[in-house]
Amino acid sequence: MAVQVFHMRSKWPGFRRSGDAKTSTWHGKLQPHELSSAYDVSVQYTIPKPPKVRVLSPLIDPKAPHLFSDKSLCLYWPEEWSWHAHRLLADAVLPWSALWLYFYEIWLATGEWMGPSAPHAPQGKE
Amino acid sequence: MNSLRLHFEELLDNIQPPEHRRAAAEALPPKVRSFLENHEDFPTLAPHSRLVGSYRQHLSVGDVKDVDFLIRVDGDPEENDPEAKSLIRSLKAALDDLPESLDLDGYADVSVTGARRSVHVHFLFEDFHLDVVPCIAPDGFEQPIWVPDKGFNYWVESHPLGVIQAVEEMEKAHPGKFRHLGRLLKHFRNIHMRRSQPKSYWLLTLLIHAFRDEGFEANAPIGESFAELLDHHYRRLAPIYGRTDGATPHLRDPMLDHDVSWNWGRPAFESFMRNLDEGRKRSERAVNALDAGDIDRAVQLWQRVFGEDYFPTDVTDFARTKAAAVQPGMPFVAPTGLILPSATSPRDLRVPTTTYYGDTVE
Repeated sequence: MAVQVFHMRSKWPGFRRSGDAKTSTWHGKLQPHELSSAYDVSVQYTIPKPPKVRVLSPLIDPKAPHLFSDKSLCLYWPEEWSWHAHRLLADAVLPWSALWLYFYEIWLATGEWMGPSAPHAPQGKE
Repeated sequence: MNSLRLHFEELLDNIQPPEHRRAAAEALPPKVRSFLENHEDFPTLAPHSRLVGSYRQHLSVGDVKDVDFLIRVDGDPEENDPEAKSLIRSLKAALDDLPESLDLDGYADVSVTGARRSVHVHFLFEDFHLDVVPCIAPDGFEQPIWVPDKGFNYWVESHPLGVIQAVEEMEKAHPGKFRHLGRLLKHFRNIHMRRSQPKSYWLLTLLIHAFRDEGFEANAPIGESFAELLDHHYRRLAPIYGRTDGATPHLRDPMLDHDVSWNWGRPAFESFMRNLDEGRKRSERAVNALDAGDIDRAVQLWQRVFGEDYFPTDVTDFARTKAAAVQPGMPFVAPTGLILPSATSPRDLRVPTTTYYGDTVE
């Protein structure tokens, strides 16, 4: 956890952490475009489980693609990438979350998810 | 909720000066500046010249047809030395040699005309104008300077680089808002006030005062912030508008505090206020329509504010172009979450490749 804390503090200084050596939650803002709202985001990480990123506000449209049922963001395709303790939240999870929000705003405006996308059904990459 | 962010992004793209204008704005001023710096009959003082005005402030909209630059001369403005109107005439005389000089560079059809505080150089083929403003800069361009007024035949104080710096500071304090709102306001004026337009410098003065001195904050999405800005300006000027003695606003220069709108006539001011009132009401209706979920109605109303040719109905093609440039593996992300096509700082991180996974699980 100390490594995660170090990298989050240095690369995402706007995020504040609470928690302990096993479970941490970071809260901060992501603004994917200068004209966007700043989204309040939480990143919850319990060793060794994959981290969960949720958008607290503004509320995400529940019909948005690439959301789990617990409203956390689907940021990667398990067939392509998997989480383990040596991965860095700061280098992967946070950047993907910001980009998720960018594509989410495009989806709101057009109805299309314009980023790379894999469905839950086992049909392969779109 | 869709904030129409992409619609406003495309609007801002649409009101950018077109590429050929930007190219002219890059290519032509250096030729004129160099010509003057080397002209024997119009001595200038190092550092000779500096680009100013809305192009330099990055507040240009539409078909930017003119670029302003200062040309520095020696003198004592308080003694009216050189005499203000004579200097404008001398500058015009020097620039009258410009067409022949530029003809050698392949620039035909250049016309030169004197104005109140400057000399206009019009490149007819490019339909591009340069406003050459002579000045006395006792302490350099970065401090207040003096520009000649031919009408009054004296020198007036000005601080164009101070304004540029103020704009940069305001944009830093309100990133993604100050300049964009400034440009939207200019575009709104261009669309609705084709005659007796308020000067761009007055709009900039109003904007700087709103943010710097009157507590205006643009925390809402850009559309809502624009509606709030129009309302703010209207309310601020309403007491003068409501007077029946022909009063007009005396806008204080944001740097030097003198009256910059002394020549704003009452009929033109009333026209401005009518347009402002209509604009703020229409903008508010657009915001309300969006809040109620009626996106089509919101788009229609914004099109009446900004013009159908500029505010898009559908942004799908525009979005595809933008999305193509930021596929995972390509863009960078700033510590604020801002997605960037390329890094602008060592703190920006590359967004690794990924494939977003899964439809929404119902």
